[in-house]
Amino acid sequence: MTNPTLPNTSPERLWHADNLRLTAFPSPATQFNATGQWAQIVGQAPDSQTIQTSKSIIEEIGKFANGRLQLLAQPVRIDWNYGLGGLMDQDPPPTNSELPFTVALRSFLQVAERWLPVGPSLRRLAFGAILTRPVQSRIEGYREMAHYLENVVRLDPEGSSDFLYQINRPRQLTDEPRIKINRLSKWSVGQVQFTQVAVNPGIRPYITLGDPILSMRLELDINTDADYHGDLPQMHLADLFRRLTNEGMEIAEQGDVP
Amino acid sequence: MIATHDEAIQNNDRGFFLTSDDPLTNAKAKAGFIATGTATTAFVFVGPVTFISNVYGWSLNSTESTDIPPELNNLLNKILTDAREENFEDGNMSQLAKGLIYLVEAYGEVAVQELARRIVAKQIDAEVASEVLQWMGRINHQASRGMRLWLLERNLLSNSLYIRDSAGLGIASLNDPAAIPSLRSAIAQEKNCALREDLEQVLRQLEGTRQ
Repeated sequence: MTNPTLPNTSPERLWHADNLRLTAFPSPATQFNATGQWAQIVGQAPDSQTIQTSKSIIEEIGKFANGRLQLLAQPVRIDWNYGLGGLMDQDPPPTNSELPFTVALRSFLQVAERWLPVGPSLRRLAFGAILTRPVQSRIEGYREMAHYLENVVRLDPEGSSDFLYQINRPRQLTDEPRIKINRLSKWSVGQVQFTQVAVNPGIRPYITLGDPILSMRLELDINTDADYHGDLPQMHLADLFRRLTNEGMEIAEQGDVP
Repeated sequence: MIATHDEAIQNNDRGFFLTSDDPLTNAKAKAGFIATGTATTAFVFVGPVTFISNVYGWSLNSTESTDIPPELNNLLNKILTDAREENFEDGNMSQLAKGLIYLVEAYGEVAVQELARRIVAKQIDAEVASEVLQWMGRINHQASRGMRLWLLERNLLSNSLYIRDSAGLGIASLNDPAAIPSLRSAIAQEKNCALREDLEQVLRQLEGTRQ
């Protein structure tokens, strides 16, 4: 059901992607070597590669589609993170308005659809996102949020503060693979102030960078349920991930709908 | 209100705790907002709710990566170091077992993930790792069950006979038929006759449980 109060396509209602995440939980039988995967998927070498042999952790990072893409592989989980991280040390740091959610998601899906068919067998798959939308004040943020949560919460923007709402709305996928997915969303309004902290002694300990950014914030964690037994069907992984992102899009557009 | 982790664990049965370790700051730090010579960080000021963190992520169904709390790391180091001096005897609850039970009850899946990482990276002495695996099957803690099963299944393929044997024992204790495919695969690859027979016995047990 689409919420009639939300003109989803108007630019001022667009979410910005702070971070998009694909998390893959490998099958226990998988011995997966992530070295070189970043280059294989993106088509160029990453800017940095860190291998912590003693901890079995591999991290590869590089620029990708106006943002930064990180591959972090550990024995129990493999994460692909995409966002503006690493670009914020510029002075002044760019605002997150440079990465609209829909645009960022399209780029990120390319990564997912290239990697999942060649990646390891998986027990569990997740799409995570941190989305923000700048607002002028906490009250404005709460008013905006009230539209998204009007089916479940009656917000008092002027007379309240410290509001945080989180919920899981699980769903059962009806076609193959028939699995339960968790649809977690967390809603809040927060203020971010970037500061530069000096490491060298004798220098002013920190300086603020730019004005504080106040924004409405939506965190999504759409994942296949941990109780699913066996490996997820490899041939359906890319489709499955797209479906997880569609569920995330639905929440970002319609808010929390029981 | 900012509570210490121990206070929060005692005061809140959901395992939530309040900390200045803001998730947004963590996410940005993880995403690489660290510059050479200077560190760029972010602070969130709006209200105390923005400082809520949780060792399990947002909820038991969350897949968000959580940092290993330093006190968990320290406790784990101590328990595993002390365990090297311990003699493990069948039928007795070792100090290591008591420590593991505490860690799993207090930190849930995060503790098991860290144990898994250390065992897979061979950072734990094989004899201690074997005892850990056996207890991963015995601990009664629903929220970490999936991760404990993963750890046991994974170690059915270990290079160490000792560890494979303990993984089988752990699976027998956990008695979860979900391990049947991994067990069948391990039996097909197992070259040690005695261990193969033991694993076949575990398989029969799980098949019986499934029925």
